[in-house]
Amino acid sequence: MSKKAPAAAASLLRLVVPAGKATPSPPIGPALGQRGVKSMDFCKQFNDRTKNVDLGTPLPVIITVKGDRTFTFVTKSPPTSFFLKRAAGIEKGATNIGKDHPFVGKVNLKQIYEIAKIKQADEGMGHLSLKGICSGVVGSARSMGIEVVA
Amino acid sequence: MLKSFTSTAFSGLRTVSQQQVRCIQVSARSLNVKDDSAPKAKRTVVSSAPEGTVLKGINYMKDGKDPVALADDAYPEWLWEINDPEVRNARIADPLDKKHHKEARRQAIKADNFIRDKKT
Repeated sequence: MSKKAPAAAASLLRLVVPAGKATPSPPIGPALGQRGVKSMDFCKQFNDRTKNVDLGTPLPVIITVKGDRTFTFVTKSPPTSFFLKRAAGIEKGATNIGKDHPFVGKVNLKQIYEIAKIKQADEGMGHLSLKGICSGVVGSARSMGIEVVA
Repeated sequence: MLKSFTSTAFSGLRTVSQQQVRCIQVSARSLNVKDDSAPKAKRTVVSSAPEGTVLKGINYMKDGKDPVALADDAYPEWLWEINDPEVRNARIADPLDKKHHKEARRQAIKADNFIRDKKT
């Protein structure tokens, strides 16, 4: 979460919000309120924009609040860990990983490929090759204790 | 990736120096040009999700469906290599590969930390 703030410049805010379920006070309310934005406005717009997404899917969103308290936001694809947990059929990632600890789930390379394709559509991924993104997803899987099989 | 330098070498001082810099940067890689004329080993990896398997957990849109696995050949070749420890170890063993040096540096840092961290 970055707050770039010479007086009139925009400030950025990064949150992860469940699709279609914006507006609880704790995460969103205070964060937006501090910047002078009414959280209901954001929530209405966000829920509207995410109405095609499965309810509750966590979506990272980057909100840019301008000096005059108007805001724009961009939603990105869900976190990689979310995809991996669903693909492996587990609720939580591993508490401990490494050679002394068993894997907690398994995904195959074709699932990795599909996840990478979804991630590739994000703005920040434009400079990465699909192979690079796949390697990144494999790395995330390993750090969660999910085994990657062919 | 080897560019012909003669065409731009004389087009002006600035471009000459840029080309010279690029020469130095490219030289190690140019030695490492892979010989693709040898027939590639046939991929031995067989996917655990044969064609037609539904890849669960990928879709997150209300009106979408989980994608279905294609045949193994429909996926790019590199996909089968990213999980292959042999490919990775070959790159680490190759002294012209960046990975080799990164790994060497990593091990040197670990050794150094071990020596410094004398809390017995």
